Parts: sequence; structure tokens; C-alpha cells
Amino acid sequence: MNTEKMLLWALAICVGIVTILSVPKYILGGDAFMPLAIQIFSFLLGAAFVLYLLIAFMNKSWSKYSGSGAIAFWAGIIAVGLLCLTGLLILMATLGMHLPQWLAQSVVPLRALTFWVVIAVGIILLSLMLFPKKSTA
Amino acid sequence: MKAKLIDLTRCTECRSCITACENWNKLEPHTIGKSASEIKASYEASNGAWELSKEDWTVVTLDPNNPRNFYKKQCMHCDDPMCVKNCPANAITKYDNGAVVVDPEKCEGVRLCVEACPFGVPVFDESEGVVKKCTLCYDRITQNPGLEPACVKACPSKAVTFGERDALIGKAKANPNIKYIYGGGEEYDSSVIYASAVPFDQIGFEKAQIHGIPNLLEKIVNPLGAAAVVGGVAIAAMHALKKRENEVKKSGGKK
Repeated sequence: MNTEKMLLWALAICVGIVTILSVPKYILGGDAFMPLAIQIFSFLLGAAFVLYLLIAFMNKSWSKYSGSGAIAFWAGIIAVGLLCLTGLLILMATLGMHLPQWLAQSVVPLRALTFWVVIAVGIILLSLMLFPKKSTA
Repeated sequence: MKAKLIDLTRCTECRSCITACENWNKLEPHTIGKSASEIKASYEASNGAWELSKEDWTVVTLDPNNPRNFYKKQCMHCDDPMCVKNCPANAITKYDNGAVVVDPEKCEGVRLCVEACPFGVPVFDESEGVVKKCTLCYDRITQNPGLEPACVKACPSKAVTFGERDALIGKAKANPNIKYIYGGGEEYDSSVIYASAVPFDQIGFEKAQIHGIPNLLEKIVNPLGAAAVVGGVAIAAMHALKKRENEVKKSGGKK
């Protein structure tokens, strides 16, 4: 397994855990579930995402995907990017850094929207894994 | 729903409300971390604290250029509180009786509520790692029979009153001295109502700003999210069907 694939799996696992633990709060409106685990896996997610972006940029990974795969790739990149961005804003607030009021008020709804997109991408990825394209080589 | 009416035409800035709040909530005197000269300056300027802090959940603000401009600052106990909506830990609750209360057991010290509050009310307590603010004396008003909030009980000029929201609004509107009302459904939905004889900007009171982006995001997040999931299911189904179609074609229509 090459580094890019390993990072993709790391991203998928971290996003999966963060999403599953966050859905009760952000989508169902209940209490947050295992907040420490969310924090730990969010840090890992951020690190894996930065590394993946670097490798994907060097390998021009987007050219490998077409059709449903391309949609899942770009939607996934946007969703994970937003997840990392909102996570970073929450971290900044926690560290006492001043955020503009409109931005502070946008973090939670933006994160909720991101989780919906992550679920959508997850469904597409599941379909791609269950019904893989056969290699023509 | 209950509410608190702060009638600024009756307020004498005696600060009994501040003392009562500190006594009831067992708050420390607002001297911690301040030098002697700072404490002296604070008392000379406003007979106490002039900004909300972990030890001061209500203050009487003071305009040094015009001593007649002051108001009792505290949590507005909004109907649609930004602090509640933006707490990732779900630690803040808006109760049916109007109170917005932080649960210190659940608070993780994220501080998004501090940044998101349009009135700049919640304050982070560094020593305890939790956010603090006025509770509308939730522990008093939920007793049976219910008690008034401590500041209401202590106010000698009856400038702060507590009761049913509609009744308080009616009372303020019937008062010929009151020209401006903010809160309780008048311009803003909240369980704290300000009544004044002069425009609020003259006394330094800043009304809540409504920001377009978070307002829009809040409205579209669930429909757009549901649409994204439906789209994802459709793409996944199309992919599966295409795969099946290709397999049927390859097998010469036998499958």
C-alpha cells in the first residue's frame, strides 16, 4: 500500500469517527458524545489532510478519478477541508483568540452542513467499494 | 414566559443589584488579579466593576464623559440565543421560563459563545475553565413558590421588576416616561427588557447585530444537507446500476 492510499484510509477512519461521534450533537440536536475522542481524531484528521493534500498535489491525484469517483474525490476534499477549517476555528476560540462575531456564529452551522456532506460522500464511497470498476488492463 | 424589565427611567445607579447578585451567587469580590490602583480607579469611576467578568454577572456601565449615561448591563436571556446555538458541547440551555443557563459540568471552555454573543456577555473563567454569566437566578425563580431574581429583590427604586413578559411589556408601554423599549419582543426577542426615556445609543447600549451569513447558513443547513445526502444516494445508485448494466452487456444479456 503506498503512502497516498494509507493517508486516504487514515482520512476515512478519522472522518468516520469524528462524524459518527458528532452526529448526535450537530444533526440530531442532542448532547455531544465523547468530546475528547472528537478532539483527538480531529487533530489526526488535520495532520492527515495536510499531508494528503501535499501528496495529491505532487501526484496530480485528481486526474486518476472520473465519474462518481471524481465527484466523491472533490466533495470529500471540500468536506474534509471545511471540517478541518471549522475545527481550527473552534481551537482558535478555545485558545482565546478573537473571532469576528459573524464567523463565530457561522462555525456550528457550517460544521453541521459539513457532516451532512461527509455522510453523502460516505454513501458514494460505499457504492464505489461495493461495486468497484474492473481494471481494463 | 417570565422576563425581567429594567426601567432605566427609575434606575438611580445605586448598584444594589450588583451586590445582591454577588451575594446570592457567592461571587468573589472583583479584586482578584487587579492592582490596588486599578481597584481604586474602578471604584472611583463606577463604584465597582464597569465590565462583566467572572465575578460580576451584572454591572452598571458608566460613560466618563456624561455621568447621566448608564445602564444595568447583564445577559439578555435571548429567545434564540447565539450562545446556545454555537456551543459545541451543548452546555447552554434556554429554559421555558426564559432563563439561559450555562451548565458548568458540560462546559468545555470552547468559548465560541463568548465570541458569538451579540451583547458580549459570557465571560470565560480561566481558573475554572468554564464560561460564566447571569442565570436569571434560575435557582431562585424555579423554587416553589418562585422567588424573584436577587437583583430584582434588592432594587430599592423598583427599576428592575420580574414577572410575565407580556404584562411587563404592557406596563412599560403604559408608562408615559418611557419612550424606547428593547427586548421582550420589542425589536428583539428576549427575557430581559430595557425601557428608556432616551435612545439606547445615547446610553451606550449596543443592540444586537444581525449577520447575514450565519442567518442564511442556519436556515439552509438542514435542507441543503438533506439534499446533499439524497444527491449522494442518487450518485451511488447510478454507479451501481451502471456497473450492473456493464456486467449484463459483457455477459451477453444472460444476467
